[in-house]
Amino acid sequence: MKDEYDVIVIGAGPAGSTAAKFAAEKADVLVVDKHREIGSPKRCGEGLGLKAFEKFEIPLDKRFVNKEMCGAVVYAPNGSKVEIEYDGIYGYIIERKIFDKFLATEASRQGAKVLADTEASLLKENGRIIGVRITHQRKEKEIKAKIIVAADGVDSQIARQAGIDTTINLADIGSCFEYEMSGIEIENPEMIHMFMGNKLAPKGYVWIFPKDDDRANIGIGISGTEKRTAKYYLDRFIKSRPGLEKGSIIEVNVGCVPVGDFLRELVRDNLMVVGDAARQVNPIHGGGICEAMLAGKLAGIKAGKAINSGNLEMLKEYETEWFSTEGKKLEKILKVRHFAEKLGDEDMNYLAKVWNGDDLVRISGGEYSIAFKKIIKHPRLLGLLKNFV
Amino acid sequence: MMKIKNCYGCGGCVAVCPTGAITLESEVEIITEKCIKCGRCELVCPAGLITIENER
Repeated sequence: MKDEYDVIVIGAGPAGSTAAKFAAEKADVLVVDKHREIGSPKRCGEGLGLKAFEKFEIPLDKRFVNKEMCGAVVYAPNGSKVEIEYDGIYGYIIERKIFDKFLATEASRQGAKVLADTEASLLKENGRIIGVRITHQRKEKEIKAKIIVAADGVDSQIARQAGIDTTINLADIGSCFEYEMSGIEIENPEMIHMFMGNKLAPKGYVWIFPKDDDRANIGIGISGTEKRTAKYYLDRFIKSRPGLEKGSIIEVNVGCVPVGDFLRELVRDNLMVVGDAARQVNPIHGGGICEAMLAGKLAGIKAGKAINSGNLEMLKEYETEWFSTEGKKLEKILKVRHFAEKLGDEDMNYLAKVWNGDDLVRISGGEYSIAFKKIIKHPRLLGLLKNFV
Repeated sequence: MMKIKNCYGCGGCVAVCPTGAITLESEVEIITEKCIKCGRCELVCPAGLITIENER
């Protein structure tokens, strides 16, 4: 390992490894990750849309593709279903532990140096960020860098050390608990299943993402403000369904997802923030792999160009371009979340009657005009929607 | 200083702590004297592992 790199990326998740891959096209890059195994423990339901596979030319490698998703079934509190069907495949349930290693390997193939089992903190001189101090297998070392990319997740310490206030409001975080279960009965394992309801999962949902016909990630996300825990609600859900209750727990995962608001300051001096650390997550379903990779690509390209031209001012373009493209779309989706948070169980039952799968797809993508028209006869919902969008 | 046993290391408490009083080291949380007992970490913990005493 060298004493100096052009770019140091902290965190080798989808955001960090993608940033490293694109930066490495033009710059000398080091990626560090605190975990001994990149991708583990995962904090994820592992659903990834086809769009991400196409945009990033991800191969359909059996080592990290578990099962195809042909659509989604959304359940209202009264059990009525709305089905989202696609012509063909909508995406895949992946294996994050292997997928994240694949992305890190891709970065290394592009010339980046990757180092797991490495804690990092910012190294400053006269208030300026000049690199990182790392601890790798108990050995400390100072490494200089011109650009730092903070991709260290929802609990990002690097952005905080740079002076950016990263504290998330309780109402803006999803508290999540997940089991991978085997030997379960899944009705229609070609689809992913999402269960809504304020008693079931307050301001969130329960998901069943099948990895096999009899094996699935079964998880829950609820509002951080809830007194009872995510685990409590998930255990209760599983207990109420004999087809799940009889199964085995083969993995336990816990995580928190920044679903409620975005980090506004994505660049400070020579530091860029990407992925969950920047809260670049779809606020409706909490998915963030594709978003993280899009942000990582944008930040990585800017880092490479900035090193090439010697003009670090260019990094700020990452922030402006993000908020005029994907970030702008996420802002619209956030408005839908604020609407959805106000829904009572009766409201959801009503929506399951008047909205179809296409409406749900549109609305989770931030396009609400058509769905809006369908609830015109329901004054309470119409009022709610007008308040938020 | 307080260590949380059996922590899953999800980092939620770190993300919501307003004073930066929590650190995650090898999946163990350490709450230092910077804690103002606001109770946010207790609420956000998906597994309910944190109990703040004398909560305001």
